[in-house]
Amino acid sequence: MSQIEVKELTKNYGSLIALDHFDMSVEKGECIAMLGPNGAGKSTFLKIATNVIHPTSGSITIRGINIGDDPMAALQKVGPLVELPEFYPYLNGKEILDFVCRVKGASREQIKSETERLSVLLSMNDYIDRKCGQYSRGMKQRLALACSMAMDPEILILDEPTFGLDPRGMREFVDIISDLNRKEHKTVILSTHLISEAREVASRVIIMNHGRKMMDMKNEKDISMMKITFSGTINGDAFKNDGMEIVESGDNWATISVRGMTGNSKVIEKLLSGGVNVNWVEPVNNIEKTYLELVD
Amino acid sequence: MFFMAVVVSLLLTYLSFKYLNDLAKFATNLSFIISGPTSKERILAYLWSFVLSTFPAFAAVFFGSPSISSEIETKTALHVFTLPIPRIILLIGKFLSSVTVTSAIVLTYTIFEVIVFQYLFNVLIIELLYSFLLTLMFVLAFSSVTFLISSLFNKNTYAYITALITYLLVFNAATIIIELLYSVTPYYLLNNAASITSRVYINIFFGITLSGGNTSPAPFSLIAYTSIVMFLYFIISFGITAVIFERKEVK
Repeated sequence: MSQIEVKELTKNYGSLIALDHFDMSVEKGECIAMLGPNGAGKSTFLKIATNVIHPTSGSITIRGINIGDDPMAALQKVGPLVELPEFYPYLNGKEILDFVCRVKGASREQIKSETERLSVLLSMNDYIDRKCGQYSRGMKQRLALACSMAMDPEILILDEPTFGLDPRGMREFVDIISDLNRKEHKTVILSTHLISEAREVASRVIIMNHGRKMMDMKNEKDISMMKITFSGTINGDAFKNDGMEIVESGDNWATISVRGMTGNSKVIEKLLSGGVNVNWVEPVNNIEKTYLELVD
Repeated sequence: MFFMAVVVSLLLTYLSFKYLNDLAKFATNLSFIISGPTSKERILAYLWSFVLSTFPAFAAVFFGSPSISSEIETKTALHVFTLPIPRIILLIGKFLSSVTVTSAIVLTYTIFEVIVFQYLFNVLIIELLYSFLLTLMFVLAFSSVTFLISSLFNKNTYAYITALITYLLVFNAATIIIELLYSVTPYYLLNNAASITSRVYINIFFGITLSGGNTSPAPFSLIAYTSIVMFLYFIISFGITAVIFERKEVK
């Protein structure tokens, strides 16, 4: 059984069709990036999936539970992050996490350990005790991600999780989401405007426009490939443990699958340490090409 | 709000001590006859209640009006609505906290009142308790109305203004129309039902077009009727609010 099943999901705002008969099936452990321009329907879908808005027609089933019938049960194992949520300004980060953990049924000991774990993981130790009213946009985004990750959810639904973060923050987030998906086998659905982000974390990319699904890219070759040129030879087996795999190769060039390798610098670092004399590394922009073709 | 309640209570305390002996003159000016063992206490309590009667309404507007609209306006709903907690629980929690704070203000001036009465008369009339309980019922009813208004808007300012206009203008306008058309006071309107908090002391009323009454306490039938009216406002408004809140969206 699919972990998330979306059938004929439609959302209208008056005469505006925000989501138009959207279908999707998500298997456990998938990491889906939803790409599309503003107004494509990405956020509308994620808001329906997290019970923030209600569909005009159609249904979403999460872990076999229809969110329209029993949203609480459906969302029990979901970690949501919708847009940039605000927090009650008179509470501090610790109290917010405490509240979220408590709502998710944590014991007093679990709340303490979970708050400590998340504040370390998301580098929030310096300001976790400060009132949320004093937080910057990036701090709020980190706290929001911490809330979504609290109490070990099976599914993460993240609406532009790196929006408003500085480059370092974006890198950290991408690494965290990547790890959660690959090492802990969490199912992740995220929306993003950044093709590079989608390529780095996603095992599947859905391109949306005008509320409709334009393309569902499940093939890893289309998503996370890099072309390298080098001097000398390359031994593909040497990189398998690092998550890299040679897909095609020729004289002094190779196309490699790099899913899980966040950032070009890491790819280059691994290749160099594997004895490859790298001249050039560039992403194979299948996503970008498809995106530009589909999105006018 | 709390500070204002304290200041007005202190002012009333001062006036009570200063003009205690002029109560009979006050009653005579209004053509009422003071008689009975606790009439003096009841007239003073009526004046306290009359002056302080607007506090619960303003406190309910102040604490109740932004309760739902602010969640949408400030986008805290994007966080709260996604949590695995039923919205009705969120609504009940918000409602109880709003009612508790408003009731704390009522309790504050009631404590002042009790102390003053104990000091001046060395006796506490039972009507003080009736008035206090009826005021709490009004707090429950009007808070519920402000929550209903709040659930209709996505901006605090609109909710505040509409709640104030509803209480100060709509209810009074409806009272005038009904009094002029039918020559009866419409106790089924919340503002008139709320007058029972003063009328448990002496049953006089200063309607917008009608006035009357006497220095006896309001009859039990009127107390029961207005209590049921306030209870119905509470139940119906809260029920509608719960339905709207359940369907509320953050676009």
